[in-house]
Amino acid sequence: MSLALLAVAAVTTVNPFRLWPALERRTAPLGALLVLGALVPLAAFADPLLDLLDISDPTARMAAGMVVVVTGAFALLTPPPSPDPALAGWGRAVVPIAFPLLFTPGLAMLAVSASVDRSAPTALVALALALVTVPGTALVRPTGVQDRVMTGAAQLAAGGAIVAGFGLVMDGVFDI
Amino acid sequence: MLAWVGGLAVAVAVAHPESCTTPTAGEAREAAQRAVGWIAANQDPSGRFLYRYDRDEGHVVPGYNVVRHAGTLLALEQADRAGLSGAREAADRGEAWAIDRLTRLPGDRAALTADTGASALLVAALVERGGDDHAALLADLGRFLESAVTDRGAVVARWDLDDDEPVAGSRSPFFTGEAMWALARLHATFPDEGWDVPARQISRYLTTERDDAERRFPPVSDHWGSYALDEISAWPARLTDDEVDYARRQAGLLGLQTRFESQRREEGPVRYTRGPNALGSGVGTLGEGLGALWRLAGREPQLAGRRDDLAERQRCVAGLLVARQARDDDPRVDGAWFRLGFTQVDDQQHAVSALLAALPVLEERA
Repeated sequence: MSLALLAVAAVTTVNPFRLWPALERRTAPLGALLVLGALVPLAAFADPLLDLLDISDPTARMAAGMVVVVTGAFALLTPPPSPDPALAGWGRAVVPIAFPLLFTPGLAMLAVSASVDRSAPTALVALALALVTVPGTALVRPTGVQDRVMTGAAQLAAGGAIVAGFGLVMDGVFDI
Repeated sequence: MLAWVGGLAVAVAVAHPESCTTPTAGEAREAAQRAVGWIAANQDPSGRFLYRYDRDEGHVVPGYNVVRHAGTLLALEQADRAGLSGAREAADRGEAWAIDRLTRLPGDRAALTADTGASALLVAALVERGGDDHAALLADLGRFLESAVTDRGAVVARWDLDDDEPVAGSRSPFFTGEAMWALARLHATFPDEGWDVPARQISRYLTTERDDAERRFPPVSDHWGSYALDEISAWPARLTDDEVDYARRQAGLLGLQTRFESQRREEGPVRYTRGPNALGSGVGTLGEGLGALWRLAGREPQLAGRRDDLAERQRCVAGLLVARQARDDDPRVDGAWFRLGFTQVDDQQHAVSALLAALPVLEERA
């Protein structure tokens, strides 16, 4: 898995533009941080996890790719998530931002696969950079123009996730 | 939560557990010996092998394939070289049977049946035996194979032996690599006779045009081509970038198929998502191709970085073969690989070659 492919897959899987209506400037950074924290054990224990499951690195990459494809297709075909239901106050960083919006099977699979392919620190840096886009996007104020821009960007990112996911699948197919 | 259920379902559908137990070198050698035992025990006194056997009905299925006869000779010669007992005698009988059936053609050429692959594999087997024993015959077979190579480097699959002309447009996904390997082996054995020219001509076609010209999809998983590239590299000769790229693509194909095969189970739901186990011959060809590419990666710097991965897949193939081999008191069953109740001599042929190819990797690990 090349770094470029990992970066594109991570950003498009997070797809902050699609989450934008549900994001809140105050709680988005904490939500992203919580998700990064949840990804740390997955990345750190990716190797023993795959050994335990008897799954080779290229096969895990293919599985991650297919999940990213499905994530992209889901984002393309369904409306953006609603901000509700949500916990009150800072709890909003947990629900809905960290879960279910950011901590998705696609991101978890990417953490595992990228860790065994590149290294856990590399995977976590790439995923952290993707997650940084979330609080960044939350800073954008809702206006009519920005609504349309975000909708377009969300669809573009969803398409990108499909392409990146297929890229990962092919990368796994042609690996040894 | 629904997203997690769906996501995990997709992941599980793609990534089934891979059952890759690594056998010891001794276990792999014993499995190869048992398979040689099957070939030898069921060989007709004339030298003909038991071709196809139905375990469930307990009867021999009629039919014979001379290309596979020649391929079995190759496996027996490899087994003899590895010191397995019974291989020499079985190979001698089988080679005598094949040599009796050669067709002599003008221009000091000789062919074993109309299928050019049969002549190619007979060459591969006789070279494995030690080419000097049959130098004249090998040259005759080589000239026949050379005449079956087109200007572009393609290999005619069928030859009209009565009219001594190619059957127009006939091609085989495997004979191209077989002919290339045979000619490459002839050059390795008789380096001053010019066999490298047609071998390289086929190689250029195989690595750059063949898949587009003959079968674009699915790409041919070509263990014979892998053997040939390994042989050329061992002349020694420097591989072209196209040849290295082709070897790299083959490594990917063989690796993918090995991973998929190792996900199969005889029982449980996986049987429905991955289908029944592949033929023993199919699994064996994976090991043969991986073995050839592993050896090639030991010489070719551009492939050196993938040698460990190739070794890992080879160990997996050896493990699958050892685990799936039949053990029984019936000599028509013991040592064979069955699929859906049937075994064919090429199941044993390819499995023996694959197990022997894996020995250096398994010994290296030990």
